[in-house]
Amino acid sequence: MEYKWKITILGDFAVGKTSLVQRFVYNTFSDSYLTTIGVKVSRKEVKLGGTDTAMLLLWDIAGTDLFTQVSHDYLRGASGAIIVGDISRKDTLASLEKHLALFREINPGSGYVIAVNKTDLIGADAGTEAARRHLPATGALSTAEVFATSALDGRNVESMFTALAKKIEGRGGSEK
Amino acid sequence: MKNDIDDILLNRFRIFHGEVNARFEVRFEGPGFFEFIGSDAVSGWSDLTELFPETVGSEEAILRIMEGQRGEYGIISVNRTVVEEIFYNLYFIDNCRHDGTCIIVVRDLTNELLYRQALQQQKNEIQLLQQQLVDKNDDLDSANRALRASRDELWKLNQDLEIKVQERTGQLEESTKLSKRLFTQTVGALMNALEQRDAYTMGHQLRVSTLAGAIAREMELDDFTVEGIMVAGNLHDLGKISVPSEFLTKPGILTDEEFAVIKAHPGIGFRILKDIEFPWPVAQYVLMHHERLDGSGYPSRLRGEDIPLGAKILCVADVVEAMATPRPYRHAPGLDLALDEIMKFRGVRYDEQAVEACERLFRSGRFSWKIPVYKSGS
Repeated sequence: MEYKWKITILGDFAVGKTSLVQRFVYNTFSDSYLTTIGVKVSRKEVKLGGTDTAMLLLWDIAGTDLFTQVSHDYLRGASGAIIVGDISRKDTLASLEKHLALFREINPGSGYVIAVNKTDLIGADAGTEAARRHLPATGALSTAEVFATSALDGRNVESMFTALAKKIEGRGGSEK
Repeated sequence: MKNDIDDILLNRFRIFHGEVNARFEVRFEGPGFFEFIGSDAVSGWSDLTELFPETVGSEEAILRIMEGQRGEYGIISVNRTVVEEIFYNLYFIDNCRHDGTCIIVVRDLTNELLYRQALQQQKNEIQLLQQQLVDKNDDLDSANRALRASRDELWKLNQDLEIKVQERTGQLEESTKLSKRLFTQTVGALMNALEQRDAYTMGHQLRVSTLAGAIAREMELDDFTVEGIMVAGNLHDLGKISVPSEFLTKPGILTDEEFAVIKAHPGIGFRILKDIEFPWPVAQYVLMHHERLDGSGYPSRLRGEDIPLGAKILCVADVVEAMATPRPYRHAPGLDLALDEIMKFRGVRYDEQAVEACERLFRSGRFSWKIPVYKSGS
């Protein structure tokens, strides 16, 4: 079976959303920062179980700050989301709850994972538990699946996207 | 006419338009669209989601437009890399036919959004810098708080230490005072031990001590040295404790044997005192207080510089006191003769400076003994 799923990548500005997509889709990384405007859609196929595959349409959405919010139109129809924070900026981790709440409001029942990105900054062996310690221990975040990622060295990037795809499949992701 | 409108829309407003059919296929009219969008297709119908993957997930909204249930649906600010970055808005608009088709409009916003991107980039970079500054400030605040806490802790430690130092200083002062009292009492006890045997010379050592101290001060010796000389003065005849009292109190001239016994007293005093850890050479002063500069003294007939200054001062004070103070068993020549004696032999038997100091003290009236002289029956 071949699925086609819209995945939104959400988070504050400069947390590394575009870099995560670049690492996953093209296996490249650039340390120069170029802000995203609007949305940029990339495609990548992932293998599921057996002969099943999913074409992930990755919506790399412009990051937000205190004064801006993601357009709801960008989120409609998404099968899943990756909510991204920067481990070196506490405010971006505090915003994760807000982004997740918005996504769940528009897409109840869709899958999501949390990416605590730039973990290379706190050590080569920073893992999920270290990343989770940086997150609030309450609300939906406390039960969310968390990945300690680094677009720079690629840690947990592939596994995060694959895990999300399987999560969507498990929730009965629509076939195209 | 239609081509003219297409040209105006494209060239003036950078707008491309086409049609979407019920099979979600799309066809564009007019030139330039496929080149703009970076597609290999040149004309005809193409799959909507292949050409515009951003429409995945929007199928329901588009269907509602085709069925006339909704007038318009848009996906704005879509970014795509062709050769360079392009930006566009994508609109689906009801064509009022309600036949399962709708109008698709692509508006090229590349120039506008590249400009907006540059502005946003600056804004974001400034915010990142501000955040870094705030973080640095927080770090500094945190470091300052830690420093203040350390300073307070140090202050308290200093306070505690100060209290302990004061307590310890008090204990040491008390201990020093006690040691001093014990020392004075011990010297007094030794002095009394002799005078209990020889009541006739009672007060002699104390008077020698005060005169020797006054001479030493007159010679501008330091307080510590003066104190040592006075202690030695209080004990200088301690060796007489082993001399039979009848020898000491014998009126008239002593026989050679008797005098030999008496001459042993500096050495005996020395042996009694030599193992006591005085901070001054007390035993040495006692041993040498009968030595004379010209070698005529005893017990070792030392001369000049071989005799320490303390012993020379004691010698002068001892001679003056012995001659000036009457004893029940002998006549005292008196103070004037005593001073004449030391002046006569100054620089010969007696230290010149000590003699002159002693003479100045008495002549000027700045010194007199306040210690009572023994009187018979007292």
